Amino acid sequence: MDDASFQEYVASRGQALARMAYLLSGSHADADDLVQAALAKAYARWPHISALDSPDAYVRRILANQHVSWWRSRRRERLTDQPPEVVVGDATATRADADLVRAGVRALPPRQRAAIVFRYFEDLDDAAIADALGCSVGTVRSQISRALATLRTQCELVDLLTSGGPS
Amino acid sequence: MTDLDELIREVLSTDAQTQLQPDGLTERSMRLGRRLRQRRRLAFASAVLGSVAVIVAGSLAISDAVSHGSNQVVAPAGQLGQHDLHPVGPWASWPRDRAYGTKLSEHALTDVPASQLLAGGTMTDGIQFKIYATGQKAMPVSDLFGFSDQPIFGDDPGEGSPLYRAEAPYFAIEAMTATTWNHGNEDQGTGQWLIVAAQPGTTSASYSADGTTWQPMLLQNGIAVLQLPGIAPRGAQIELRDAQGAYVDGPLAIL
Repeated sequence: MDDASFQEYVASRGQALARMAYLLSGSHADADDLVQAALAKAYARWPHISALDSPDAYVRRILANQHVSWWRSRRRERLTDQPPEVVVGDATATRADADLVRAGVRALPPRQRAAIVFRYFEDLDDAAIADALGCSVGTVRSQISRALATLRTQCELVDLLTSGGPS
Repeated sequence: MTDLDELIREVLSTDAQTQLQPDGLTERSMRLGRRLRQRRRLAFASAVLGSVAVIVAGSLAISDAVSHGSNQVVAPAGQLGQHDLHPVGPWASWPRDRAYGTKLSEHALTDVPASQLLAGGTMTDGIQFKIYATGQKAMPVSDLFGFSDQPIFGDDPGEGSPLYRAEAPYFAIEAMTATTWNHGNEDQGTGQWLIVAAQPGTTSASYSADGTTWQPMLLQNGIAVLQLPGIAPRGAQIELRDAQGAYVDGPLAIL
């Protein structure tokens, strides 16, 4: 086991992975747990992972799988939670649109959210996203397409509400 | 409505800045990762042996419900902050490169013969532990677990945390309970033994998962044990007392 190489990896990528975990989970506490669990799994297989051309791709895949797995296991309890409220009273500018997008991204199903995070935060191409999510490029495109359609619809709906309806 | 693509990038970038890397991420990942490796080895060893569950169940049945096993601190009473090292006979009986007859493919325990035992014992469920120093480097300390006087898994001998210097006031480890070991569901956070080899002369030991609610640990011969529902969370605290008062009161540091 090359501990030094793992330590170097976490030192260089830990912050970015923690941020990615936050965007996937939408919760600081969950992000801490998520990145922790992903790196623990990575460490357990580090001799294999560190020999790969792109250890990052492998760790990203672990992170995505863990995120989806946790979402499934916690779905029941989350369904009992109150859905996040969308405040529309002062939604008048770009800030309001940002809040809508933020809420919309967090409400996306986990794989759609992951696809959005990988494309818009990690700037990955569709092939790399497919690798991270363990699916085909076509599936990635359809996931992103659906996610964008959902976000666009939400924003247009709120724009409509805040402008007082169709003229 | 501004361009949706730009807005998503902006939102994600802004939100991401609010997340900091957790403290101790590297060390904790390595510790949890070692546990995962151990579990994989264990699953293999269990398949080879086949009768592990029966043995453990038998031990559980004869365990004293009040006692917490038989533990010993090998270091004799001494000044605070010193752990004397003594080679101990029973250690030699543990095979050094095999787990249940299967030679380990990695992390072979080749350094074990040079080690010196700090503390060892047996929990109520039959899980045995050894905390030892190798004498290499600046007193790196490691741990090994077993059952029926056979090591079944262990951390890398010779690799120790820099926290575990000679002047460390205690050594703490986590070991799977027999139930966790058999069911291999550590990911779900099931039982772990928290084992703290404290100073000889320790009169009480307490653990807190959050720094607010405290639980007394069972103490025997300077070794404090407590069964936790899972791996100790970040922020866990420990307090150790002797006749002069608290000599440790702060974050729990686990090997």
